[in-house]
Amino acid sequence: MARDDLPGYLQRLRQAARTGADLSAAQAADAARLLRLDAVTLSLLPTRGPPELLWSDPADALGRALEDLQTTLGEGPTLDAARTGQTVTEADLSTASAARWPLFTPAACDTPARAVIAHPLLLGVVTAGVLTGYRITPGPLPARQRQEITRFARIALDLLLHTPPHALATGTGGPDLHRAEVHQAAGVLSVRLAISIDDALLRLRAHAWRHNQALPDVARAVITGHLRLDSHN
Amino acid sequence: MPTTDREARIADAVLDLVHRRADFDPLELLHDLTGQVVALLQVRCAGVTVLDRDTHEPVHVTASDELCLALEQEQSALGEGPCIDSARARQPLPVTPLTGPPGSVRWPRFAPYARRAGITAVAAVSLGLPQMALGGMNLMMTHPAGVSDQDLRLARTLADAAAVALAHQQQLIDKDTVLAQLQRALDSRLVIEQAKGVLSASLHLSMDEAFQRLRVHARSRQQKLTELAARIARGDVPAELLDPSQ
Repeated sequence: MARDDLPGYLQRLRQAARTGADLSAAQAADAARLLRLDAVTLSLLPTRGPPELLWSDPADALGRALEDLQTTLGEGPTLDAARTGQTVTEADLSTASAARWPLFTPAACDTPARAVIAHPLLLGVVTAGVLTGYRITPGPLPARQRQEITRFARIALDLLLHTPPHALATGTGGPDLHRAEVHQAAGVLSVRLAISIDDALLRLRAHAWRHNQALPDVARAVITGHLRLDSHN
Repeated sequence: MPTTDREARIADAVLDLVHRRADFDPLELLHDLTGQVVALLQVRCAGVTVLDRDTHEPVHVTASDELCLALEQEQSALGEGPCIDSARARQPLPVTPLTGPPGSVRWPRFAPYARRAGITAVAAVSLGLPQMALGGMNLMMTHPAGVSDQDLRLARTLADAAAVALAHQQQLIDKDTVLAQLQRALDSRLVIEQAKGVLSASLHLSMDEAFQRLRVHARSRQQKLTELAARIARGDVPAELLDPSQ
């Protein structure tokens, strides 16, 4: 697949989608390379709450780190695309206006990512999820590249819709729920601190933000008992 | 070749039928189709009947005017007529006189009814519809000489345009249903992960053991895993789950 070109790749994925294939038919690493991006992620929107990351390149931490940052800080391109149903782009995070994402932009600049495009996966007027691409070189994405991302997003939505619901619900097979441990940790915290799950999620995010840690790392520390997160820390 | 006014109107008609908001009303689309046909062809009126594929019961009946609507409804009531024939056979029907054979023989009850309304001939095209429904469009005429094969071809094209719009909408509805299912599955997954955390902290279990406990409890009480998990995530852990000896 390494020497494949984009049209051939899209054609094969389209064919796979037609025969009922799900997201496992597409590797995020291939998609990123052929779309000339450094990371791509795909998130599905639950009925309530922020997008949940389901598809990314396991060998590349950049996309996941940036999605985790957005969940932690409660702002960023993926969240904006999910909320508005519009494509969100930022050509250079290092010179972006602080007003847009006052917390996310400086945090993202601590990573190598510079340009971002968040493309909503639209079904009629409903936003199903978001495909987000990151690039480490700054500069606007050319129109042709944006079109290619749109084309890929359309196929990715078809693949996403073929996810077996039962596998996703129980976590037996199916796509990898990246922040599964964050939700487990919220359950743990809710017992330890006698608070609601929503409050527990807020505490996890606040701790990750304050200590500049990745949300899944905070979650793991809570689960293993290394982190108490009561009111004193 | 210069474009005639009629050609421009035909192009507009096709665009009007195909280019609709995602949530358009199918009956309104079919009604507009009959209106376009009457505006573009030398027909008295036009009507559409859509039948359920299995029961052949009418699902939608609409027409360009009251007269034609009555004629469509009469066909449904009698169970015979050109529209029903072309819908069932998925075949177009050429201009057929009602004043004598074959129309008067083929539809012995419908033909006299239509004649009393002044209709002397009919033609029909079938409608290719999603979800396996059957549909046909009737063209009712008082002066059949004014309707050519090319005119029927145009009627078929307009019917196809409407069918494309309907198929596209059905596809969206199907995908919407799938998406809603998927989003509910994700909702379930989140509360299941949260419930695992609650049980693991309450009972000092690993996440895998907590999930196992959750599944066994749900199965033994014939509860839905998601409902049990949602209850636990709200902090309402069933006492039997905390003390397995019960």
